Amino acid sequence: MLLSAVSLVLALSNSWFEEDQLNTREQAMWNRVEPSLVTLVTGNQARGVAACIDNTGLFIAHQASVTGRLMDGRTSKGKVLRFRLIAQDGPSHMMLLQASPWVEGEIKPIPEPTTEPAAGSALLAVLADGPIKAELVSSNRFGVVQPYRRALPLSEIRFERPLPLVGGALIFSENGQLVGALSATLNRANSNFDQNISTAFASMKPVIVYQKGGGAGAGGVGGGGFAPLAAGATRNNNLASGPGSLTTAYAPGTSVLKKVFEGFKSPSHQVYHASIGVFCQDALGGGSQVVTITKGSTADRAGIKEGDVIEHIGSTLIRTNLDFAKLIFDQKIGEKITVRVHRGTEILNIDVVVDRQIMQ
Amino acid sequence: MNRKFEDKLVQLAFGDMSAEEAARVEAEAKTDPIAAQTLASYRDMRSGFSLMSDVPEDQLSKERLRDAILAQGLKPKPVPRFALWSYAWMPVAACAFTFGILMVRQHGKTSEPMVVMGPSATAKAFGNTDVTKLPNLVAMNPPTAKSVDEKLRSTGEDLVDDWGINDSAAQPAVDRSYHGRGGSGTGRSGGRHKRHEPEPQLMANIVLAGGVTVPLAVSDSAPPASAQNSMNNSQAALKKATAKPSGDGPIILIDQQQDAETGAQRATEVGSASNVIVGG
Repeated sequence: MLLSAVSLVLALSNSWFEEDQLNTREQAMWNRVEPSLVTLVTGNQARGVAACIDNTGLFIAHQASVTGRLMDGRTSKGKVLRFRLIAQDGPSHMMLLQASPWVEGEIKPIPEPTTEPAAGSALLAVLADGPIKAELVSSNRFGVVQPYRRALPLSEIRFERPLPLVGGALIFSENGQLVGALSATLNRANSNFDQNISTAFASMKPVIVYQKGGGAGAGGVGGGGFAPLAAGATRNNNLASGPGSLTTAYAPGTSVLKKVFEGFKSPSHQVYHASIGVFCQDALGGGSQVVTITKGSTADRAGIKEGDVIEHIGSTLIRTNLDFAKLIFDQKIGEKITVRVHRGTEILNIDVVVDRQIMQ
Repeated sequence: MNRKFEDKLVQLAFGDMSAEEAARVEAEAKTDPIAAQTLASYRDMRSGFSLMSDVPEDQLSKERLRDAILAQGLKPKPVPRFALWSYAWMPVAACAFTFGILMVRQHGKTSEPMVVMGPSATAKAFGNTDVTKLPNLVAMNPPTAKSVDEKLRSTGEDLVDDWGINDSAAQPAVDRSYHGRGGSGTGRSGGRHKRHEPEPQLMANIVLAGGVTVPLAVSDSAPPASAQNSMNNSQAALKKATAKPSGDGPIILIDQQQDAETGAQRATEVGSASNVIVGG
């Protein structure tokens, strides 16, 4: 009887204990990525983590971890580096930092994101104070990011319990690839659907920098600001985010990160997004109706007008504004696409060159 | 009192003695207080045995008493074999309880998260109730206005453009998706056939960079001229047959506002993004 009771207590305590501990597999994941990371600090307070992406001292971090244009960072070996912000990408919330002094080979770069982890895969979310385990729920989510009004593929990530200050955590897959940075958490505090909608859209103000002709990046319009200090916030346990005892979070998908890596590692360090310079809304009965056109954009120059209903792009049927946004996201910059629009009683086929756009 | 006399007392007490000898021993016992007390004890013992139903009367003998007192007492009654397992329920119950706890906890880990419902799910949750008439379920307003950035304009930078929607001209609106899914929950095309009431309008004015205001309407009943012209009957019929809700799953709206609880931006799941203006 005593033995049974002891066994019971041990089993339960072990079960609870396991939730806060990395198992062997997760520990191996952590050992794989830890040498590539630095902890960003402000004063003596850790703000987040940045990951080395190449051998020239470029690091990538989420904007929630970056509190200024100059920051200090500590490597896993305790060495202090100075970081300077040199580029940022608005929709993905990722920032590019340059470390100095930099000794090549001192920190191992993380591998570029190549493969999308399967749903249910174990992930490691690295916060300022260490790793926690997470799970990929789906990599097929799609979301609209404010204030850019950009539709991006998102990964839905779940944590086992409400977690404080997870914003900006870098997410790694089992093979050590960076698969996302935690940008948003599902808002559970306002459970009323309409309230969510109103809140979500109340501050939806576009910030767009459109670049004509593929020139170098222009300055941002109201963008480029830094997020409030995540680590300075206080936690109210009564208003945890995420459903139930879980935290549901979203990170830019692997396809977005690929673009970010490619842009940040390019000579200009800029991330270019495919664009033709239109903003659309669902059209009555289907299709994507052009609400407004950016002056000088390729769509403007090609003759697309406000009120036009985009029905096809190439051979792809456009049913909704998100169909349109998804398709544009996947386009290659510089390619010519044929947009079939309905204007009044006319049906027009208009060739438009996919331009590039910087959003900061 | 020696051992032999005590045996006699036992035989006397349990009736294993002839009447003549019994009288002699009893008389002898009366002369010795210890013997008398011992005899009384044995007689009490015999009467006690008599009260035990599981001891047959014929076993209340001197031999049996000898076994009981002098030779390790009465032999225990054989215990049924199954009685040895009568305590096995304890470890079994402990294991079952542990297993149950672990299963419940494991189930909690893998259960699907409860998400903020989109319009279709909300409509189903309200049954046949017209959700548009419920308080706080009137759909979102059009996106708020963004004034023209004078700073950029003053630079004459033609590479940078701006856009916005004049919210002062925006009217209270009802999300079309509620109508489309409130009755049948089958999406926009299915719900459109069920409308019998005046359609609320979602109207907004688009303020272009040049200051030109263009009315925009997405209501079925009162589209603006530009939208009216853009749709003829055949096109509408074709699109009704092919239209479906945006995306394969819930649409995630990532707010600019940061959630102080998590340090991340707030995300909201909605079932339709039909009123969301998206750039591309």
